[in-house]
Amino acid sequence: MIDNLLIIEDEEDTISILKRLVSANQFAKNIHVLRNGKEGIDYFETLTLEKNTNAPDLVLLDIHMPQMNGWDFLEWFTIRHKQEFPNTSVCMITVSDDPKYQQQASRYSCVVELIQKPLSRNHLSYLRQFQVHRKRLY
Amino acid sequence: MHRIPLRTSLIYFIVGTTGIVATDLLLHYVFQIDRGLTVAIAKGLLFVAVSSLMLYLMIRKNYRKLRRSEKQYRALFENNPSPTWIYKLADQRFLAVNEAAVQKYGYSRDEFLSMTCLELRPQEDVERFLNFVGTFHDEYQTAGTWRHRLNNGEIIYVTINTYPVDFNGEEAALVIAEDITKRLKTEQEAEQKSKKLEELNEKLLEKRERLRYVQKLAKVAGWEYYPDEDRLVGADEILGLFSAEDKGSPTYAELFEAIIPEDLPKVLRANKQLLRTGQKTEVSYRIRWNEQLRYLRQVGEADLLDGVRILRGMVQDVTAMKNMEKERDQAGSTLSRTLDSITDGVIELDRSWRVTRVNKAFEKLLEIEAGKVVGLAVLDVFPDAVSLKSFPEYTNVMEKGSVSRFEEYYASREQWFFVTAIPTQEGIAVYFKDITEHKRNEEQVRIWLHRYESVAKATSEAIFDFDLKTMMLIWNQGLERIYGYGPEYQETPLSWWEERVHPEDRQRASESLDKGIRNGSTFWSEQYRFRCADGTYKYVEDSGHIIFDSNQEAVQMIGSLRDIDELIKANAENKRLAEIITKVNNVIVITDVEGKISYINPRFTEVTGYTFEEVAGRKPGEVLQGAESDPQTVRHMGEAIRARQFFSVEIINYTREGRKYWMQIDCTPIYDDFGNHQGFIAIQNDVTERKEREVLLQEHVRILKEISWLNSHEIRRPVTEIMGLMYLIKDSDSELEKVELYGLVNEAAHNLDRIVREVAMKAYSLYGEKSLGSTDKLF
Repeated sequence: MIDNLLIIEDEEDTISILKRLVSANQFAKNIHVLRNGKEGIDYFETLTLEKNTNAPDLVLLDIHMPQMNGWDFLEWFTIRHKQEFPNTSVCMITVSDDPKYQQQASRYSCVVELIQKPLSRNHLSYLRQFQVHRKRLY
Repeated sequence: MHRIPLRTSLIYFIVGTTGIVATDLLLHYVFQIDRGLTVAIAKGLLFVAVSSLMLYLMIRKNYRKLRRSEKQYRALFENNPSPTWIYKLADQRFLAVNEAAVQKYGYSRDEFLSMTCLELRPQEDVERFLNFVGTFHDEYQTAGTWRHRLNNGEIIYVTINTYPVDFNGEEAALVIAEDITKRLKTEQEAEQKSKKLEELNEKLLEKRERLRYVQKLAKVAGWEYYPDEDRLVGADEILGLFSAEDKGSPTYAELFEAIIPEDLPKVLRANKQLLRTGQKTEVSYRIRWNEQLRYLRQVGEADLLDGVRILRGMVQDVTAMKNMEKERDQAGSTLSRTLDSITDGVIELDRSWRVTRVNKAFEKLLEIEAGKVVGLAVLDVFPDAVSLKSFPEYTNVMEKGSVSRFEEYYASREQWFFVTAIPTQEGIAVYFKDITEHKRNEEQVRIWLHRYESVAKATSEAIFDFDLKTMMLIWNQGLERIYGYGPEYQETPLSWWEERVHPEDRQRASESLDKGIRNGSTFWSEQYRFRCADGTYKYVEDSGHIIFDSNQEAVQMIGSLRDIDELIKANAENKRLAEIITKVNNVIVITDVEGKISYINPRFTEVTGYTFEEVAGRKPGEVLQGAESDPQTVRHMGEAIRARQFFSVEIINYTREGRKYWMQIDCTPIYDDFGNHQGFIAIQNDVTERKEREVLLQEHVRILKEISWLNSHEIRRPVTEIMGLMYLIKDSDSELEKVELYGLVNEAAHNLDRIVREVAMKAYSLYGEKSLGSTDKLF
């Protein structure tokens, strides 16, 4: 079970399903939900300012969002994450099956996976395992 | 000498003592009166003794006085600076002379004392002297002037003052002579001088009188002005210049008032300058005197005379001269007016080659201003004159005084002049007549003649000389060579020509010729068919130059009948091609070397709306391209044109009305037979429809893409939702939760249904209205 999960997703329905799925599988202790990339940036900026060490262990990041989409958020986050949030991983979630997305996602080191919606229990267990590995690795 | 008082006293004493003693003794002894003889004698002797002593003292005192005065007297005599002497009246012998006399007369004192006064003077004066001595009386007197002779024989003049003296008891005369020779001489000289002066004065007066006459003749008056006293001397002379009557001497102010007001300032200025700087000034002014206007020339200079400032000078009455000048000027202006009215350009030069005058026509002819050239050396004004062929001519005229006429071409002005150079008193006068026009005509004629000659030998032309008066044509051999008409047709009437013009062309040709001659143009040209001697027709180009006489009447036409049959026939092929060009659906544009439109076919006008007149000479790009023409394509076209390379592009053009259309352009450089680049020919296709279709296609693709996106996102979203919910249901153990999740699935399914409908709607909204044949294929 990871400590902090951050969901950046604009679809209310998806959020509620995700929440249910996460709690049903006891995937994370704390779930924080943000509606778009811009909010994501603000959130991380606040963390930096408050020297809050409770950075999310995992970010579930949607791609298509209003105001700022997932890619733009990633552009910003990539620069910051190594220095300030080295323990935060990003998992991108999208409804699209566009193969370009896979390619694009692979360019960002912070992205561990791009998962086509909907998320299943298997996805979560995979992510959980990845997190465990990751902790061991670092 | 000083014993004289003692002697006198002793004599007195002896006489007194003797007297006393004798008388007392007589009384005693004769008369026996005895009252004490001894006492009486003693008393008497004492008295005598005492009085003797007193007498001695008195005499001595007087004598001393006398001696002193004598000493003084002698000193006066001896030291007198004037020669002084004493002579005895009786025999005029010198008794004493002083040192000054010795010095003056040159005789020693001893010589003097052995001489008489008579020897001192010239013989002729002796009588006068003796007379004078005879009348000499006892008082001081001035004896007047006498002539004396010195030891060296020189005669001097002296004035004599004399008075009688007693010299050692002798009657003598003291004489003081004063040498007045020098004074006399000076006086004489002065007298002479004054005499001369008088003579001179007389002469001067005479001269002055003469001067007056001369001045009157020259009308010159001298004057002197004393500014400190405001006194004018010589005003009468000035007045005399122009006024016969003697009105007395006018004052400076009076003269001044007579000056014409306009001239007053310059007179004042000149005078002021004269006063201030003392430099010589000259001023001319007018004066009005007795209702007469006189011109005066005044020259003045300043001087100092005994510390007094003085201005002097002369005034000359130049009225007559001025009048003459005026007259001359008038005559001159008449002359120059005449000169100016001459249409020939006239330039006058003096012997030093300076421009003295140019007339108006000259100014106009050479576009110069008289004011800027008069007075200048001619070569400064026309520096290239040296290079003129005719330059030596001018020198000849100037030096030999002969008239010269010649033609000269001024290359810098592109003008021909007929030049007449005439020697004048001052130098030369050159008349320029602009014969450029004439020359040009002449040249033209010459050129034509030359052409006539050379053309006569040319192959494809028959040259004719058409006399418009007689209506006769004279032909050259060309007529035979080309058209087969023998020498008998060397001269033909106009009707002969008309008969041989193709009947279909005849009227047109005749009318055209008539018109050409009548409307005053110099060139006429017409094409028609002309019948040869063998009866065949040839296409000819008939062109001629019409020559006019001085009344602007057409008198002659020189022309050529050019065989253009082959050309025309060759052109027929071209014409066919041209016809095709005009009729094809392609837009055809031909440009010259510079890329400017030289030809467009009718289709061009149909497509673009521009007529040939509107686009001729312009570049196709600047006419047709607009806002949406792709700059890169335009650049590419430009580069290809510069490189003279073929290019094929598609570009948005605009019609005259601004409607946008697509053009496909194939542009090929064209070359003539000799490989010279002639321009470009551009075949253009209106590909608007195809292009529009292409755009539509692109739009379809875009919509398809949009739909596929909708498909992947909008539709997949509810699907994933349903799938996600299904995962949850599968994992859930709680029935209650499952019911809830089913509800959500239901909701999502409805959502999906709605979205699918929306997508469909969108697709219809995009394509539904458009009548695209390919729509079916798209879906």
